[in-house]
Amino acid sequence: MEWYYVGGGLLALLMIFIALGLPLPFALAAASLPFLWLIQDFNTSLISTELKIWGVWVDYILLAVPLFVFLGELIARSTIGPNLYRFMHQGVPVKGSAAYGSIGACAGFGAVCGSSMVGSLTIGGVALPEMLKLGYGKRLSAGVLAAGGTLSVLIPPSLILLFYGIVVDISIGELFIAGIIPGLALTTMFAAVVVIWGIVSPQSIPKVDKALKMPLFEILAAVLPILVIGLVITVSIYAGIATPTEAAAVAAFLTVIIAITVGGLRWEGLKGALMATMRTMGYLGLLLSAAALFGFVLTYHRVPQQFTEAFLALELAPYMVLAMVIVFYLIVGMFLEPVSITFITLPTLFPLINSVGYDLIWFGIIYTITMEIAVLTPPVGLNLYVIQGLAPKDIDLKDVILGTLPFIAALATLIVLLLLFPNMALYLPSLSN
Amino acid sequence: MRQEKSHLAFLEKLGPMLAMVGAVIVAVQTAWITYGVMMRYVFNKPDQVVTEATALLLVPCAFLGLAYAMQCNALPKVTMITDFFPEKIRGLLEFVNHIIMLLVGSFFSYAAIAAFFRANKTGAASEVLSWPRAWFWAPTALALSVACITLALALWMMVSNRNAAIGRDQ
Repeated sequence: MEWYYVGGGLLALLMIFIALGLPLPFALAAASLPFLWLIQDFNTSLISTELKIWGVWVDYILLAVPLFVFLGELIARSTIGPNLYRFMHQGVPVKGSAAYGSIGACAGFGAVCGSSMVGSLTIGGVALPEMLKLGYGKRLSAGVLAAGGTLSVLIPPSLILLFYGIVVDISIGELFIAGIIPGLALTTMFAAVVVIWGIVSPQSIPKVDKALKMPLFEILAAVLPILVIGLVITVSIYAGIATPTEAAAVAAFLTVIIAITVGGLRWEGLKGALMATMRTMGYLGLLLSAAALFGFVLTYHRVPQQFTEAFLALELAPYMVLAMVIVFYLIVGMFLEPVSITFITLPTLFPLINSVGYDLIWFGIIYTITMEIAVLTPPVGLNLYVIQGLAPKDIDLKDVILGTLPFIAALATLIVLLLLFPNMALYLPSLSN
Repeated sequence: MRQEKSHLAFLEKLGPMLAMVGAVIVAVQTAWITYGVMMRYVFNKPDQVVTEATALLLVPCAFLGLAYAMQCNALPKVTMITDFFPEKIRGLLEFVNHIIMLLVGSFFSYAAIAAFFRANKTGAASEVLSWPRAWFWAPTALALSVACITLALALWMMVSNRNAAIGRDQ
């Protein structure tokens, strides 16, 4: 069978299953199995599945996933996130301090958590009612928190960068380090969006934030946990002291201790964090196994290689190829969530990006930014729904979507900056080498 | 009737029970790797077991939460097209989706059970520690089988609820 029949058929079947509302891991497996049975009999396909499951999951690098998820869930269930937010804006005599505080708290949270949704949920849960109470505009409040959550996937540790590294087979540590400067740049750009918002629409930001100053002990209790956990992850990976998996485990262990001692975490919270980790793993277990079968069928028919060759035969300029890939991800991101996109599309597309000469670490950062845009674009923008779920009834989805638009523009600007100055992503990894 | 209800309640508890086992594994992995790092840097006596052992534990850990995730409706899906359909068609699609999920789940479950028996028979073991692969296939097969039972239960509930509704209409 020709490669384009297989590629097209797999994609068509997958789209049909997704459109029918089949959960994504099952849709991926259900689309792959008929094509697997075209090349193998049933008994051989059982052995292939066994080998794929074993091959995918007996992986020390992949072990970082449940550990980072656990870490994020622990922080989400403790008072570490809300304390950080309060520290970031309380008593700061600057107009818009609650909005800047939200961005700062999201960035700080991003330094210890790799999930954008958990970031929005944790900081949004405390910051949204506070901002509305202080008199901030509903679109600004919703937008800043929906977009702020995306900082978690660019500032290390990042689950998307982790999955990207696993699919593309490059150093997770270098990817994490590469995300630092773009992450800080994005944080600054988000703050700039708030400044511009305040100039264009002054009524969206109150003149003075009437929030009480925090006592010194509370300030320490707010900042130290994030600082310690964030440094353990970043420094240990950057200095080569620990692998990302070890950094995740040590950080999670440390977080349990800190969250229990100063973060108000109790037995129920710890149990809840572990169960939430298992809920995420339950979905990832089948998704990655199905993705391995999907990849096996594609590779058997040499679809990624043939696709790359066919694309190269068009003799397009590399930047055209990159532009097409970015537009493709922006469109797909409107309909699918990032983890599924990573495992469905990346195995086919990254050889193309590699063959036109782009650095895969640099592209990893570009890819992650497109995934950040994905969680902010309807109809399947996860962060939009998270913030809408937290918001009072007078804030509808339209307000959240309109509120995020300036921040999406900031994300798009960051992509342009990375195209113009690739060293933004590549400088730190080159130093660590 | 009462006995049937208690059976159902037991089956519904299987998902959370397995997820709890998985949660214990995650906690063990966290503590064990931290211990490994500490032994390496503080006591200069690297733990030879930790890397492969914790990686092997990831196999069951990846599936022990599946039934629980399904019960919590935590598997992502796109419903923007089906939301436009009338309720009857949506119900029918949900039924069809559950059948597809059950078929896919059964295939994976069968593969894991077959893997367990094959590993048990051949004595296949891990590369460094030589721990039998069957140890890790057994909980994986159990988790996938429980996920299938959960799906079958959901299907049975759909059918019995529909029959009850028809009975009430008549």
